[in-house]
Amino acid sequence: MENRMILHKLNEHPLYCYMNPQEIASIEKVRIEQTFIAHESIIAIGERNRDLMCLDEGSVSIQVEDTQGTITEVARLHEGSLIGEMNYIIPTRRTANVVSLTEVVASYYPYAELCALLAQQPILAAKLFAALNIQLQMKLRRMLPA
Amino acid sequence: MNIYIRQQDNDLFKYLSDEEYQTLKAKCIVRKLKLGEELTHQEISGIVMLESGILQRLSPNKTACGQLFPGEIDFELSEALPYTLKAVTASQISILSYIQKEQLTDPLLCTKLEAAINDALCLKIIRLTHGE
Repeated sequence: MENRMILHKLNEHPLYCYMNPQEIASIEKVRIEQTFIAHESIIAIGERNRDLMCLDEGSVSIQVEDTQGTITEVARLHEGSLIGEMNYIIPTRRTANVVSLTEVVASYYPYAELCALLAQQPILAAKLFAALNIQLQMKLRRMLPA
Repeated sequence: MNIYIRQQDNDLFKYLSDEEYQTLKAKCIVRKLKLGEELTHQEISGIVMLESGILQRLSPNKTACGQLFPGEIDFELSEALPYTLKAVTASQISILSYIQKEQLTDPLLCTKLEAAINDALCLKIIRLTHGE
């Protein structure tokens, strides 16, 4: 009998990539969909919120502020990107502004509800954490010197 | 995230109970490194846990991109990142091979390891952001 917890990639979703349809249905129970108009603030620097967010449609600008209050765009994220994964894992605060460039449809996974679900379902948790690890490693790869 | 409580010093095994820790520790290979010895991801093929000494991450053009201190981990995933690890002092590492990790059958144990890797990768990103 195969007992090993081998992670097979089943789709391209940044959070669901290792999950089967039943597991996706389970995690969808905590998902909240929200729509933003273009140029709307989605996340602001300093917020303590730890919700995880997935960009389902549209594009956003990631912006930082210097000590003079000058705002600089450091990246643009598009459909299929995760937002807020660092603060989900390690509690700090939001370190960048996220502003919609187009109309945006996003999925929120509220921190407390998601943690409660994952605490009850270790297999689901392992698959979500492994998916997060892929996203984190991709982020790390972009930051490393050539 | 606030699901598991840290119970061990080692960053990979941090969320394991003493019993789980001993079980996994027994599956690890211990290796001593001489000063200047360099490790590649391909050669190690597992998660590196530094037990003593200091390792330096070196990019392909030999740019330093972070250090590893005792208790910390590297080569977290089987997909390689573009750097090697060089011993800047005589060091000792433990290695949990990716194959050994794949053969684990306890979902909670797997989850705790993945959660620990989440933390390690996040910290690595934060340290790079801060120029460490």
